[in-house]
Amino acid sequence: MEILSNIAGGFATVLTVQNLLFCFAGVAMGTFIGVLPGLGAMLGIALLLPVTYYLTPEAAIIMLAGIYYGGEYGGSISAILINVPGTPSSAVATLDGHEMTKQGRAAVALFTSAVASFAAGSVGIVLMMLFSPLIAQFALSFGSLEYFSVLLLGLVGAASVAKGARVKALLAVVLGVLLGSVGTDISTGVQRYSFGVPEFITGISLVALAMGVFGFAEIVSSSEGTAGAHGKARIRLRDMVPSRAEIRASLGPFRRGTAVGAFLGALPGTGPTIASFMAYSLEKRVSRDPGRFGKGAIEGLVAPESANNAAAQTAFIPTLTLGIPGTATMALILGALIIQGIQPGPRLMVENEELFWALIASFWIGNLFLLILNIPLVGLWVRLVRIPYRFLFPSIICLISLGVYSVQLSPFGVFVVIGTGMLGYGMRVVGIPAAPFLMGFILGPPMEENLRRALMLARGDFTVFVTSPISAVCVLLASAAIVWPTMTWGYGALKRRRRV
Amino acid sequence: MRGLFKALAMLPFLAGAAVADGYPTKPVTMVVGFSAGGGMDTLARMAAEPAGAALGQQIAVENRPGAGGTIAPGYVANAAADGYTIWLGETAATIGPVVHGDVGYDAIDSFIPIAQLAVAPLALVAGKDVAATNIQEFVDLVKANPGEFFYASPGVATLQHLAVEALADAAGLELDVVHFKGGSPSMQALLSGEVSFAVVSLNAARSQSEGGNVTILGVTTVDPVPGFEEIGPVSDVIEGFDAAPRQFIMVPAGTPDAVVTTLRDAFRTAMEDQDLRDSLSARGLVPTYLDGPDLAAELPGVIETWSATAQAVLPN
Repeated sequence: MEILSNIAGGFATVLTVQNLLFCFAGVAMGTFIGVLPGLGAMLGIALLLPVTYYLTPEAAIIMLAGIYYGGEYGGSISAILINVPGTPSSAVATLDGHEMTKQGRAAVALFTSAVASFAAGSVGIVLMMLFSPLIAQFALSFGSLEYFSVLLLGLVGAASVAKGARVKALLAVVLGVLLGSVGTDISTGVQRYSFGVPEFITGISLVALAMGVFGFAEIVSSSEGTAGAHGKARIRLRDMVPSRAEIRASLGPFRRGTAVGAFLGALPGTGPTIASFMAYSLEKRVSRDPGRFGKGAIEGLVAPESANNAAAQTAFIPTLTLGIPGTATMALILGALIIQGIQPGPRLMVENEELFWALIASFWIGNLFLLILNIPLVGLWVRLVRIPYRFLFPSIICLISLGVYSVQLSPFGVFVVIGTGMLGYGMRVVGIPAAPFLMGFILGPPMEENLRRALMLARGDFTVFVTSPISAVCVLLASAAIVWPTMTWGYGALKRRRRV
Repeated sequence: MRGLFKALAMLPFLAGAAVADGYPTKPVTMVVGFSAGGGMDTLARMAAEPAGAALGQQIAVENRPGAGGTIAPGYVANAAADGYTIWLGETAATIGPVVHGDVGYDAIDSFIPIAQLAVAPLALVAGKDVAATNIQEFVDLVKANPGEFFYASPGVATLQHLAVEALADAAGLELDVVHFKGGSPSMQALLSGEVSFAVVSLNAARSQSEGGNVTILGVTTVDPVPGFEEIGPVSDVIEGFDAAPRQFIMVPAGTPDAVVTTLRDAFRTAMEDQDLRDSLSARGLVPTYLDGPDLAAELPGVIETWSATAQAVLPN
């Protein structure tokens, strides 16, 4: 019952005109920044951070958190409509989401994405309310060993996040892992492939790379053809609501996506981006008809959308209960708390109880705002696609450049976008898919880092990967994922031969 | 293209000559090597206000993160030496050339020190299952079990890593380092019991130790930290041990003397501000003002010590 009174207290704090206003401002700005490719929640939070000096701690954190999870909603809008993800975590929404747009079902895709996001976000919030300390304790049972095995599972599934030839997808993963190795090696301090360029010391920026291979490359290849505009002029509610069959098909992916997202979000070493990719690859694997994926299957949109929003909420659990931020954006939010004179750590939930519950209450209100904001806007967004490409695409390139420039105030990021954009275009020409490439880039470096650390801590003993229970399960699943298709293929081949 | 570079290279001299007696006539930019929201950024924003008031011009904070904080000094070193671009630096960046190779500046030759603002004490912490509560017990424990323990470092040749290596060297300890990507993952490893020890900022250590998750063994400043007198410094056991990162203001070499003096006066006045000192202390920093000439005298020795340790741990 204590939780009920706590949450009631939280709502009482949030339901002041001032806090509601900051919550709305946060989520609205988050959506907007999320929609614009290259501008992410991180930039929005960094920009507004100086403003929070003049706010109460509650208002400050409510607004900044709103930008964060609002960005997860917004990022998929541009992914679905123009095949350019607003944020790296929505890159996977381009696969089936944009296919739906091409089939003239953009409104359905946007509506589904908003509803799935809201529902998954709500599940994340409930988990946070009820089990925060427990989940935090569970997250602490993950060491380098367990992280390696979970990431291995992700990498094994990486090649399935694509349509077309399997070999090319595998090649893309390998390319991604290789590019991810640029920068200083964590374990030894040796610089790899930095060629004496100081900007490469910390590696290639994920945002710049994602904007290059997805955004820049998409724009270059679209400008080749005479791709026409998609979408209707007027959207009614009837056009947005998915069919009954689609709703039924979405329930399973929603449940699995939310579970994957809530789990990976709560681990400080993973997050929304990895969650959305892994949810997609899981969905494709359990599907009875994986051939539909990448051709506008609603399951391929619902699963990653649920995953990244559930993860965006559960990511607050280690941040607030342990004082351990999982992502750079979470670290920024902790920074905002420190500016307010609140030291995040294990005592935050006790010493700043009111703030903690107010934040949770604000999550719910913020997600509700997002749902209310996004559904009427579907009509407006869909019309965005009707802007002639000769106006739309140059503006997107400008926005991407502006976004990556502003992170470091240096043109270097823009050159990286151009460079990776050319690479991405080249990959398209030869049919190497971008999504597994990005996944290799994201998963490779932490996998290597955790593998070496785990072996160091075990003093070189490889058996630890199968003697630790969590790791053993992941390694088993990963091996099954590799062996099973090979076996069914072998069995099929055998059967064919017998028939001859 | 060549001509353009030449013109750019000449810029500092031209601008330097153009500075009139009226400095400052426009807002000053304080460049920080880390993103908004981090500890350095917070320090910058806190110090910018009183220093700007003393200067009679606003000081705007500009974040130029990247390459472990070495992009910002590289940028300032090559900016116009007119006093309108100043760098809020820290010790780690001064050994940047040793750690990362050519980063486009030399901590001594490329800058003129204005003032030291604060030091950020580091804390040596132990996991809750480790049988040590202070530095002496730590030394005894590790000595009794050579090569048994691991400690977490937030990266190769970070000050945290170097501090432990220097300590191990001075006390004759054998313990192994495991590197993580930043301070939070290394704290996480300590909380989960993956490693036994870690060096983290005193502020982070405090909040975890108040939660009963870790034990603070000692601080890396020579003297006890005000407000944390119950925690002994490492120097109680190893005489003269000093491994606390410093934070300071520098301007590009070649800045006119009059401008340097104006800036030094402004930061001296700012550091006399009790509000600023209080808010620095509240964030786990120790306000430790040093005048420009004093800092200039101390810095080469400090860099020398850190560089020697860094060279010993880095692969060749």
